[in-house]
Amino acid sequence: MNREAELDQTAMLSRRIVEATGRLFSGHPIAVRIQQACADYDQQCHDILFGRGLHMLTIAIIGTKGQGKTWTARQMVLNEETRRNLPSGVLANEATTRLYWIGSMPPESMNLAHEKYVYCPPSEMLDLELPYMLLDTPGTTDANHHATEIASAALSLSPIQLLVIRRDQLRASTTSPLAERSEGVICIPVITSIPLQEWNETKPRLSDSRESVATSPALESDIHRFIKLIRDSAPQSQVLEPILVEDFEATGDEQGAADRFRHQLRIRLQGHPLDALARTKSNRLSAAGERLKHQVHRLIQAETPQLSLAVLSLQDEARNLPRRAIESVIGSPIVLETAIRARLRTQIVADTSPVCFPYRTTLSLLSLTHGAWDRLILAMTGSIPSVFGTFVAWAKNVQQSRKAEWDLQQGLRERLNGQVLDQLTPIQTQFHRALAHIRGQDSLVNETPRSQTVRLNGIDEFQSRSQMLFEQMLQRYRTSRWLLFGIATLGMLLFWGLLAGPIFSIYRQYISASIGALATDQGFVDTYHHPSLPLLMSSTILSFVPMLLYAMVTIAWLLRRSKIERLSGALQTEHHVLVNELQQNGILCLEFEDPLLEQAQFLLALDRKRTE
Amino acid sequence: MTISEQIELLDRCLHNRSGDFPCVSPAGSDANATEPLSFIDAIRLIDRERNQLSREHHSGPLESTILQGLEQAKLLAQSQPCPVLAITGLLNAGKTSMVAGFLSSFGQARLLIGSSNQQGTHRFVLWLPEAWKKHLELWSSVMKQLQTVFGTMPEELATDPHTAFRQYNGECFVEREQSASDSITIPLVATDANLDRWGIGLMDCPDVQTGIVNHAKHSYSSDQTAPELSESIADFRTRMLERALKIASAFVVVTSANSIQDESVGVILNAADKAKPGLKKILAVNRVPRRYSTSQIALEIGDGYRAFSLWRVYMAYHFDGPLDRHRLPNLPATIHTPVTDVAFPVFFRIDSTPTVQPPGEIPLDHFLLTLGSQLDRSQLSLELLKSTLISLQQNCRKAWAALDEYAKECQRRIQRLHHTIAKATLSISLDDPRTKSDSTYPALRLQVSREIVNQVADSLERTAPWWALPSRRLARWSDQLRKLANGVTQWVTLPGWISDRANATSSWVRSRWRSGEGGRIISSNAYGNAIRAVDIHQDLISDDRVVLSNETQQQIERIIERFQVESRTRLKDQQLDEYTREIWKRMSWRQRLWTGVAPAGLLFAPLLAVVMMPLDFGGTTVLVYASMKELLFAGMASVGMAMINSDQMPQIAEQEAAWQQLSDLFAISCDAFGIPRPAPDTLPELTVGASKKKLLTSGLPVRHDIHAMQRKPLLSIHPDFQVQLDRVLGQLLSSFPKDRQERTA
Repeated sequence: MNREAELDQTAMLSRRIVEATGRLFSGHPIAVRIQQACADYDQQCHDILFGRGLHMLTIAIIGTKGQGKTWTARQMVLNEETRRNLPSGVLANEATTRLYWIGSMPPESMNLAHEKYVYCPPSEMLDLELPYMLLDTPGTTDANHHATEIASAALSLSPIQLLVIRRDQLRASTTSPLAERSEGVICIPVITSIPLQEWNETKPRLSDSRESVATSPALESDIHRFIKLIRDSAPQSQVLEPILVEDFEATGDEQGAADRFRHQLRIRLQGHPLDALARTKSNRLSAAGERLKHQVHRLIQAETPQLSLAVLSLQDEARNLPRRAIESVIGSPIVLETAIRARLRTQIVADTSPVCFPYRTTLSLLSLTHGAWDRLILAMTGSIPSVFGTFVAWAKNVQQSRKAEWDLQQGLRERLNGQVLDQLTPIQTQFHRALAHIRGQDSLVNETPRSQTVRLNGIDEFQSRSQMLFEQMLQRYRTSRWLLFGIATLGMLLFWGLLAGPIFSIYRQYISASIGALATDQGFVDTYHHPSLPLLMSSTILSFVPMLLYAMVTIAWLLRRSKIERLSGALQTEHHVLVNELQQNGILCLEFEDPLLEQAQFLLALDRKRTE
Repeated sequence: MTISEQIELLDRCLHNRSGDFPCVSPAGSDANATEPLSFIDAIRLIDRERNQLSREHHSGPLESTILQGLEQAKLLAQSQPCPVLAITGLLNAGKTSMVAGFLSSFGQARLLIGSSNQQGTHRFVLWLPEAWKKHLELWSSVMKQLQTVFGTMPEELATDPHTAFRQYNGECFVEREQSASDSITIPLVATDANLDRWGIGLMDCPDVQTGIVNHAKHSYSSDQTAPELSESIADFRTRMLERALKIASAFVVVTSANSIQDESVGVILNAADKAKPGLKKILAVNRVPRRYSTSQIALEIGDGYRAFSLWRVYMAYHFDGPLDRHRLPNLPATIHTPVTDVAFPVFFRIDSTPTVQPPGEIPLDHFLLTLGSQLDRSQLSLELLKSTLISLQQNCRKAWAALDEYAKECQRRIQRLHHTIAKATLSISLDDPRTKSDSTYPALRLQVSREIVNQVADSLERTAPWWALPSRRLARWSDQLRKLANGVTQWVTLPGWISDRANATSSWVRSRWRSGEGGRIISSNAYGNAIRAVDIHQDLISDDRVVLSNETQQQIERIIERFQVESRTRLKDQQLDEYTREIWKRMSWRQRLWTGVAPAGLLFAPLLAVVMMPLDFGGTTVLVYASMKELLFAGMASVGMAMINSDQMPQIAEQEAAWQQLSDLFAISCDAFGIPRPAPDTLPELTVGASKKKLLTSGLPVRHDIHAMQRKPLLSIHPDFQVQLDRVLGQLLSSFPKDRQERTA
């Protein structure tokens, strides 16, 4: 990927943040601050990627005020004349208040008010096996705030940084932010001004490691803490073994200290070929991104705590709402029980063999007119209004079972959506209210109509699974065909058993009359008995009533309350399991289509990685 | 008046709740519930508000600052002079080394000196003259002052050097109070005989740059990164320094030469100025490389620190190394220093012109070690008292300004709240625009209170013609029964054929109204949400939760209940009678017959159903809004009467009644939320349709809900208080001699 494309990619983050901020906080001071942070970030990315047009390695010397940065820089320049151009000392006119570029070619777009270029051919610079540019920065705690700004802006310019700090400042709080701002680099701490009491050379002068110097345990432990702090502050930085420089003013051997420093520096950098340095680029970019995210997150948390509260509660609700909504829908036991009863009743009728006439017929009549039996009984006794009442009940039942069916199938989606919308609207309003409060507006901000803002996903899946569950449960609880057949046979026998008498007697008379007519010559029409209609009616009714009662009892037993309740309870439990499962798999979830909310969620989720 | 008396006067003025001094009085419901507040009480409230507002921008509690200043001023005014010189400075600048120069060898042995973290000073250590301890009264006064400033009793520095070192380094060996989470808040106290000569104490201060400490319980909290933690430690130490410096009569700021351009020096000098304005500040530059001359350093300091009006500037050369050793000054033999094997920096003045450059002879009084003899202890104490009073004065003025701003904000907030409540009440009384597509302007609906229902029922009964006589009789009877039976609940026990009809009607009306057709039912929840929708600043309902909390709901229920009970708004009897007469007149013969013979129960059932509405929602109190037309429509339609075309009916001025009801509801809501009702000329104005209309004054008595405390207290300032305060504050410094006043100022 070329560098322009990379820059474009890095700029996407800041663009997205600026856009979100602009939409959410337009008019609030926080917007300006976040935009400033984004602009800083863009500059940092540019610096990291392009390094001011220098096609060579840059080594920066960073640190707080008065730590000996310029002394360190001077030791890397071998030409006495050039060295004199780098002032170093405690007085104001010796302080580094500009950015010093030291090397063989000047960087691009130099700002002469803040930067200075000192020419130095590679041959006159400390030999580190590859050409490099030295960058001396002002102290980050300079009382001159101009210098401080230059110093902190310079932190992203180079992949190798010498962090210079005096021994007695090791526990200062100021180095930690410094390390954080330059995260992703190769950092070499240079600890200067180590007092003589803590400094004792044990091995030959130019030894390869720090162990050539015996340091006091106190210094060791301070260095250890210091390195740990830098690593904690900038986990992506590669912190090398520190270079120790004794207090040469006390020893009087500045030359010796300088020699040791150069030697150590060469050793430190030996193991880092160019590709390792190129790798730091991506580290530094990602660190800059993380820094920006954290900064934005912090700003939002500190300046607009209401917003994060509102979004959090919204997210919380969004997590719980689908479950609550669905549970409230399936949790309506009346609808559920009506549906179960209706289905079971139909099943019983369907499973009863048609052979069992008229038991089955009675059963189907009963199932259509449930809740109206008392009137049915009356209807049997011949009262016209009661017949009418029965029909009304029948019509009502049909309607009700249809409604239950509809509830189970089509209604679910609409009811769920309605419920979700109703419950979420107040929270959403709450969010918009928080936003309006932040923006200092007097009315709510809502850019989209509410019906378009929330959608419950996964209802279809839930519905088909729910339907399946319903069928399965009914199968499990259905009455066995043999039992039904037995009951039906009994009912049929009851009816025919009672009706058998009249029928037999009628047939007997009929047959004997027929025989008489055929065999004897007295076969007149008169010999045939006319069974009277009242007789037929009353015998039919008399046989029918016990069977009806029997049918009522059996159907009541088969559809007994405890069974229905057990079934509906089991169904509900299964549904809870189902909802949980769907929710865990992410099938059932709420989706917001609120652009403002999306922006807020984006901003608040920026720092998730770090906080988690 | 003596200073003590004046301080006493100020104390009384600040604490007075009633009596001679006018003070701050609360407004709104607080006015009834609580007595007037003193200045200090009011400041405490403001502190609390600020605290809640934001932790980030918290600029220190005003109340404790003022009380502490007052307490210190009292102590200082009464006690004998016991000045303390604070020695503060940058990290490892040599503060303790400087202290060491003033102490006896016994004292020096207990000092922890060195550059490593384990040798760092992490506590405030007060070195006081030995003689003070023997003077019981003085000692107790000093201890009291320490306690006032630090908030905790000081700990004694151990005589055993090793224990003392550990104390110096941050360990604490006394029982800590709950508030003292960090040992830095507990000062250490030690005495040394060497300090007796001048009678001045020294305070060895920790630096403010340390970001790594080994002892404290500082650890990464979940949301703090390493740099943030380390900065927060440094911040805490800066705040502690600001607090501790209040005890000092003069300050020495020690810095090493390489840090003179560092911003931290300015931070410390500012902290000293902030803690005690106008006191002497001394800058001491340590470890100056010997290649620099004294005049170079003097010039550098003179240029860089002009703004801080330093009293004196001292410097000491770096004493290690072989080069330029001739520049190290020799201490004159007259200055007694204990003989130790450790070398201490020799500080000498460089602010006099011309600056002496060693090896040139430095006058004896130019050495820092003779500083004590040049300071007048009584004058130092006086200056401290003066500075304390000045900062007390400043803090009181600051607090006054904050209070004044708060009171003004209260007025603005009350206005805003009035508007919010008015808007919310209007929003529930207006037609739902969704259901009203036929009219261009939303109309105000009448709240069907019991009063109105009774009035309509009475009017119907009053205007009934002769043929309705049987029914009228029954109606009167039923009316009496209704009154007897205390409302309408008893109707349910009437014979089934009446109650069935009534129930059917009421459920029909209810279902219609609930769905927004013809009328509107406002539950406490709906009213609460209406308030929330306009209450952007969350002044009234601060719930962050989705569902209103029980408390809020009850609060709103109380509003509705009180409104139902107390609302006496009626329609104009004459107009209503005309209306009902017209209804009777337009009844068809069939209807007349039916009405004449139909029992009263049937006729009044629908109206009763309306009244029953509030009882229907499981005890939740509701408001029912309907226009007159809708009300009578509901009533008539249920008895099978055709709806009369309203255009031909006489007009009833129900808008006026509805507006009065709205104003009453507004007034009751104000009472319930603990907000003072607006004065008649500041009544909020509302936009209804195209016109603007002002709310009416409510005739209902002001009765603040005792449960309703405003989340933010509302205060109003007594107008005379500022004059009083100014007078007392102005007198405070009058007893100081003029010349001294100018010098210290």
